[in-house]
Amino acid sequence: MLETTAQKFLDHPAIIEHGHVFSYRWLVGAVHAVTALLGETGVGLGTRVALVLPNGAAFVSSFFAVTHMGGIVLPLNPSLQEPEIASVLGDAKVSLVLTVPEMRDRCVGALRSSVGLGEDSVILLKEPRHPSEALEERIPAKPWPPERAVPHGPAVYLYSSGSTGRPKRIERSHFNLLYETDRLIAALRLSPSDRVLGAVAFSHTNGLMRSMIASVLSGATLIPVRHFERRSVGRIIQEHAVTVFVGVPFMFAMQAETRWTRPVDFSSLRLCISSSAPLPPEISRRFYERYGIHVRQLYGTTETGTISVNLSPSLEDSLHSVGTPLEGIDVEIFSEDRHMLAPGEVGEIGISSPAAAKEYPGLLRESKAAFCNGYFFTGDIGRRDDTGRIYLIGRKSLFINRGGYKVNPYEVEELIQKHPKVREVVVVGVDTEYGDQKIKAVIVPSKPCEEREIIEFCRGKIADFKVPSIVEFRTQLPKASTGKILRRALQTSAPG
Amino acid sequence: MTSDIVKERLKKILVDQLSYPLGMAHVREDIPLYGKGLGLDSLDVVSLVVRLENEFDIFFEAEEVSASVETFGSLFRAVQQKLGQNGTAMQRKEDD
Repeated sequence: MLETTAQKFLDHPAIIEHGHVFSYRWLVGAVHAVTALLGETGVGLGTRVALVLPNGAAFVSSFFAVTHMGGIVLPLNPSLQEPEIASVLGDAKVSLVLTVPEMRDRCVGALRSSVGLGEDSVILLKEPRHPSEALEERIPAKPWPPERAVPHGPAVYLYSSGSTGRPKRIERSHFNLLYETDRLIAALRLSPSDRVLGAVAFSHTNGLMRSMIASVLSGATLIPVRHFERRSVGRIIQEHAVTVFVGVPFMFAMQAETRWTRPVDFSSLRLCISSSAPLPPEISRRFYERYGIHVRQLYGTTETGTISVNLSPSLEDSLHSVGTPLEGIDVEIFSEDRHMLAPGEVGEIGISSPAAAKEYPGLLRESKAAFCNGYFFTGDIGRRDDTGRIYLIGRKSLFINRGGYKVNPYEVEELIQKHPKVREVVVVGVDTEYGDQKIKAVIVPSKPCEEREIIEFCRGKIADFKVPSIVEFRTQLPKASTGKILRRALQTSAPG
Repeated sequence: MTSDIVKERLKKILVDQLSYPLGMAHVREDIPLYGKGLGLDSLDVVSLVVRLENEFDIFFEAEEVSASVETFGSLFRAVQQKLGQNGTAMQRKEDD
């Protein structure tokens, strides 16, 4: 994937990290080095390799190295705890993990408990502080092997929230990724003159596709950010004349509200792209008032990749719609019984795209439910207007959006249910003003119990962003006559 | 601005922003901000800091709050200190 682009821009900056510039020449060299190393460890066609790496040159190099070898990348959030990592490694049948030293113990433990592999299956990479540094200490004995990737073969595994139920593994091919990237680069007019801020985790579809891969394959310069901190992001935007800021609504909300000690100059920004959750209009307006830049809403799913982006020149037109579909992507609105609806009618959004996955591997029932007649049924409720613009109205899914991360309430419920003082538990999202949700656990206790016991029970077992910040105790949960728990009633109500 | 007014405004921010279900009377001096008490996570800290800055006309780095401030009482004292360093005027920091 990388070679064609890199050869045109060898001396152009590919990545700026830790204040140093890493050229495409350096990046190709790093990819070659990691590729040769992977070859020595037996990575080949279909080998599943987990990347538990923060945003940075190590992630970028590793991604392109694994895909070059025909392996399948499984990018994982470095904030995940060992049980969560183990669950995914086991499901995906991972045989190798690339990570950084501070994550080593968690990865070794996860590999051992999930697939019975030891520390030999963990490769530690350094985050290069200078272009003269190598990512890995060992020098491969053999030259790097030729590309083995097959165009329609799997390139990456991602986990999707889907409409309901548990996260499902999806498989996207080299072709899927390249098609999406090609359409995205064209729509956003990305070029080597762009400097793309990579503030969303590369382990997430948004960060992976819309900042990392889009930047590298367009010959642009990627500026990865390991942790979002609003003032340092502001400094980076100015210092490096960032032109494209890919983020989530929370990031733009914080930037819109931040007070600065001296005037900031964000005039280099030509594109701000918000995805992963709906962007509240008031945040968009506020950001525009502060910095004179529209925040563009981009809509996509893990299964399909990018679907649409709103590039309207008018602020008001950009507030409520997620734009028109990228070229080659068909969006239809469907009724409950899956008939296509006319413009203006509200229904479930279905996507047909050459960039989309075709199924959930190994999950026949779920695949039949979600992938039907060439369309992927997103679980999003929306409508189209006569011009083809898409408007999101709600979600069928129960998944909670916490700062751009999708949290599966069932996963959190399953954990809390194991607490000896919990009889029943339901986990819901409570809307915040920033376009995301806080996580609330509503519990019917079997014995006297305090909030702190529940929160402490969760910490260390699941990633921090999944731990409930609100715990409410009730004598019973609201249920319909069928026995189904009325989740929506719990999202705003006071304890009873 | 008296310290009582600062305290009440600070409680209101926490209760409003964090959807804390028990109300201002339960925001005690010793209630932990994280986990056990008010259950702040890292995203809450970011948005809380922004709110504090706008409310009190002061400046914080996020790590100033997360690193050394663990209870409502210590948060209150941190805000008081910021206010006291420069009255209610904007505090200048050579941070950006």
